Amino acid sequence: MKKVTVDYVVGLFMILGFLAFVYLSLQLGEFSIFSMEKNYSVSAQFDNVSGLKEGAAVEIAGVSVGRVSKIILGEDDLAEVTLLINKDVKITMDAIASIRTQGIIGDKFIRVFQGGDSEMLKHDDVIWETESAVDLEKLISQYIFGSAQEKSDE
Amino acid sequence: MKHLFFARRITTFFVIISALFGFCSVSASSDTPLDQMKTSVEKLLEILSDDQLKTPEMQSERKKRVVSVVDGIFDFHGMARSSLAKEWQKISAEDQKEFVDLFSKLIKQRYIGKIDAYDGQKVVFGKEIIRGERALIYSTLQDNSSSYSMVYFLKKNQDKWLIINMKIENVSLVANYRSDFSSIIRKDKYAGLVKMLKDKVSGFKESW
Repeated sequence: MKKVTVDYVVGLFMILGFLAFVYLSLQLGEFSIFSMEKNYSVSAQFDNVSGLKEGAAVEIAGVSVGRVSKIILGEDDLAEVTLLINKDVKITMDAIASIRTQGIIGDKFIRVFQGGDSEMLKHDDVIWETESAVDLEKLISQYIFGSAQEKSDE
Repeated sequence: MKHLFFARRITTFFVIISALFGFCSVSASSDTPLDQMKTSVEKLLEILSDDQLKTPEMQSERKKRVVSVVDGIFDFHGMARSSLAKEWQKISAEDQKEFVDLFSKLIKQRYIGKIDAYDGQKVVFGKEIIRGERALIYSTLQDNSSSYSMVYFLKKNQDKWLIINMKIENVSLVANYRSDFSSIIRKDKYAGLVKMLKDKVSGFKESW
């Protein structure tokens, strides 16, 4: 009889441990099943999201208000990014989302500039106005190429 | 890198002036946004290359024609509201009206005021994307030596597509003003911003 009780306790302990493990992995993982309750999702279409990863931060005025949950190639060859935004944070209809870099070579994140519209984005709405990732190589080559051109014009 | 980018942006702004006022309002309701744009650019080029309008006496007439065109295709109210962001809700209806007026003058003065810089640049249109009431038009402005990418954001207003924002080399015009205005408002309040705008457009002719 005593042996049976010990077996039960060990079994219960194992199950609790396993549940704790599942909870922990869901909380720390890239996608949490609990996140849909606390967040709402909006999408944004960019020309270029080079360097942006799923799980990247979404910031307003430098404060993290959500994260990127999905990046896919959408219609018209635009990158469609789904953002999970904290329910307490309201984003205006005419907000502008731009992909920025933390420091010069840091991680990419999405910065949202709030607009002046009185209408707010709802679940599954789209942020229409976006600024894509800045392509440093393109800028440098434009600068070099541009200056060479200007010199030859003189 | 930021300086380089900024310098590039300034240059770009100068060069694109010509394209900015290139959109006329003549359009039928069935036209797609791209059709409207194309008609407008043709109209603009007509005004710009008209030798009769190039004489000094005709300068004001030329500007007037360009401005009448621009007024019909830009949603200055929407752009001003969007640029002022949160502050827009806090000011009175009269102040909003005044701000739209100042903002449209600022834009016109800054870009259209320089129409003489036009020197045969070409506008090449790319794809257009329409999603309900909103549309995106991709275009490239080609200069002799370089080309600049320009993207227009349009919104349908009754039967007409109006420009509510534009991106030049991936820099959003409204986002740029939004951050400028908000830093001025933080420092000098809304009154300070209005005063600054008034100073800037004071030399601007009423006829515009």
